Amino acid sequence: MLFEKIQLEPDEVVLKMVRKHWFVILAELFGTFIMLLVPFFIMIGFLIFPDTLSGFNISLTKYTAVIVFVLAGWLIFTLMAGFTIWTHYYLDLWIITDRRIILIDQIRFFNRNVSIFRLERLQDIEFSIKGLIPTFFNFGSLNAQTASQFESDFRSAGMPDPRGLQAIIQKAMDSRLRTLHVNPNSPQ
Amino acid sequence: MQDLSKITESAFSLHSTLLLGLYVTAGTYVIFSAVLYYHWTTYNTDERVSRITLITFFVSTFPLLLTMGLILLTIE
Repeated sequence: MLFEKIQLEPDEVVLKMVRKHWFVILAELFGTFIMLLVPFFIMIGFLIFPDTLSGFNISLTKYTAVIVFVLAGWLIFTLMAGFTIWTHYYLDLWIITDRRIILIDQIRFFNRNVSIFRLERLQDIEFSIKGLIPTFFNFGSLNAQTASQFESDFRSAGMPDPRGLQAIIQKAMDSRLRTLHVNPNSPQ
Repeated sequence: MQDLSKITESAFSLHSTLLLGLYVTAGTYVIFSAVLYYHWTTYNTDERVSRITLITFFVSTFPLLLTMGLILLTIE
């Protein structure tokens, strides 16, 4: 499990776990769905216009087994593409705790980027919603800047309710700074 | 017009072509399944989603692979 690897600190509370908006995965899977239907469209085309095959001296009934074989192969590869998209979507994750933000970016299989930055080092968090569909479905980009010398900019597109997320992070950051101010010996 | 039915009588038989196709598909399938299983068991955050995903994958794809194998048995 992922949390066993990340190892949350004692008393660290997960405030929110966020994945990209459902429209993002729907849009990506739509392409796969169309690819899934391509052979069926072709077959329907041959059934509607049977004269196109007569020129090649091919009988569909003679090659039924071969057609089913090719169709099954096509479906397997298309389904694998669909499950790849789903895996990348689901394993891409923002975890907001009361102490830090953990950003997991599943780029490809065996290509994974995990960034962790502490709330007290957060300098700025901004969101942007651009376009008609993102505005209608309320999703957009979230951009976080930290004071870290190594990596100071974290950006994620297609996040649901970016305004709400910004508010949650801002609130957690304020709370964290207050805690550290009152009790500087609080766990870093 | 070109007679495509003669293609099976050429240097390679239809059966061996399909057999090669099955090997390639089965090989890719096995590797992909292992990769998918690894990612979902290592990086998942919800055991239930992981289980549903893997079961759905195998239930939807394995019968197709089986169909390809069975069809190959019927073609000479």
